Amino acid sequence: MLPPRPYSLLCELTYRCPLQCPYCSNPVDFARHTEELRTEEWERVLTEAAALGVVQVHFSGGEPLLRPDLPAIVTRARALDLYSNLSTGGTLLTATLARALREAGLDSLQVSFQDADAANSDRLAGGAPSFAKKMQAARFAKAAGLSLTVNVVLHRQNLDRIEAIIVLAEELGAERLELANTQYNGWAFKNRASLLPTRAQVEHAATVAEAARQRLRGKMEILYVLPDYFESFPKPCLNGWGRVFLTVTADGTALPCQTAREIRGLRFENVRSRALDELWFESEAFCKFRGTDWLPEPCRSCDRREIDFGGCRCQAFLVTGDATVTDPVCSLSPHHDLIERAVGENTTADCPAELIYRNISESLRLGASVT
Amino acid sequence: MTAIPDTAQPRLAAKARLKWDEVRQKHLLLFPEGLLVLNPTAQAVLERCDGRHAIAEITKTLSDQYQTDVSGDVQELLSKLAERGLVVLNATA
Repeated sequence: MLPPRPYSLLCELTYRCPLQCPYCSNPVDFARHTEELRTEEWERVLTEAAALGVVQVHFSGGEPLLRPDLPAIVTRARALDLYSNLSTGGTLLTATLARALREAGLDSLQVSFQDADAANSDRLAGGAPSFAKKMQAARFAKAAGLSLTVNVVLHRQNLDRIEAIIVLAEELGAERLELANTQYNGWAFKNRASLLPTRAQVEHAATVAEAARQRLRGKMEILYVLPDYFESFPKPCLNGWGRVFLTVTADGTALPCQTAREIRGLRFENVRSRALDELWFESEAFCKFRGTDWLPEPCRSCDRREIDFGGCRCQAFLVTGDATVTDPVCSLSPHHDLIERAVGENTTADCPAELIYRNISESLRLGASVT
Repeated sequence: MTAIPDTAQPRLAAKARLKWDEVRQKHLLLFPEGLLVLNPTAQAVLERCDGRHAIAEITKTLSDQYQTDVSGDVQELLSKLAERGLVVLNATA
């Protein structure tokens, strides 16, 4: 039987970005992958993706607005009847560009905020001040008739302003608010000691988010993703490896998940050398952890195996050094003490505030040390 | 879940799109960051959500067509989607 076909494609159009968020989902060694796919290569990827069964496409980066051909790429997505979403830091959006993207057929735009507090948002994003431009970008998107999502990655250094963050999204007229607790892969893993929240912070935020969800029902959808370090079972990462999602990176590498590139020992292939359907159905990277046959114990005999598929492979690799073991956030994992220790060391919201920012020099420094 | 008045004229929200998925031979409802695979009844309801047909009218048309009372299904579908902001209800006075 053929594996299921993907519904959703993430196109990381570029790894370049004016922001330097310390929890960026790009690979830590992004600066070593500089050869971006050209316009016609992205158009081919979209065409192959639609034939493969993809119906939703997400354009992100880096900062996707750095690609002058973005409207052309969106136009192709629309011609293929794909639903298109854009995730942007917002600083480069103008009123004209927002209208051009809407006219090209973009359906929905997501602006990231780092905090509701302007100074802290600017500090977390690094680089030049960005908060005011983000506010403006959200308004441009609304004015152009795009559906607006506000996305805030949550962690110890902004969780206590959860109420203000919800108010910010309401005031901007967002139809959707994603309150995404940091997933500790990649850059966030490097910064875990400074970002991991306390249990009290997480529980308070969950209560506030749930109350807001009830209050704003039908007006603004609120998604609060619990941080898996504080749960007993892992997330069904990607709804299963190679099952629903597919990522193509700035340089054309096809990945089952946007952070999978950091798993050493897995071979990832490029859309420049193989067709997308071959990569999905046949390549080692997509087949390796697909389904449940590969599962180790305690997953193999666990009745949750079809619910969480063993959890996150990247997390297993980062925390234990072995991508083939049960996700250590699972309370049944033999490595779960590594997670408990990280959470246990973290009893106060007064942080070490120092952060490693996601920029080229840090990428070259850290990337060199993993090879 | 609150019942929706029968006189309301639902329409799809601007951010939601119906799509025939040729690859899987299924009707889909697409929206930011998600999708629903629609059964034939849900599809029939949603393609009539154009802001001009009242719920009572949609229900009657489909009940006649399927020769069974679909009012419960229509109510459940539309109130769920309205809660998620995917269907907008234009209530008439």
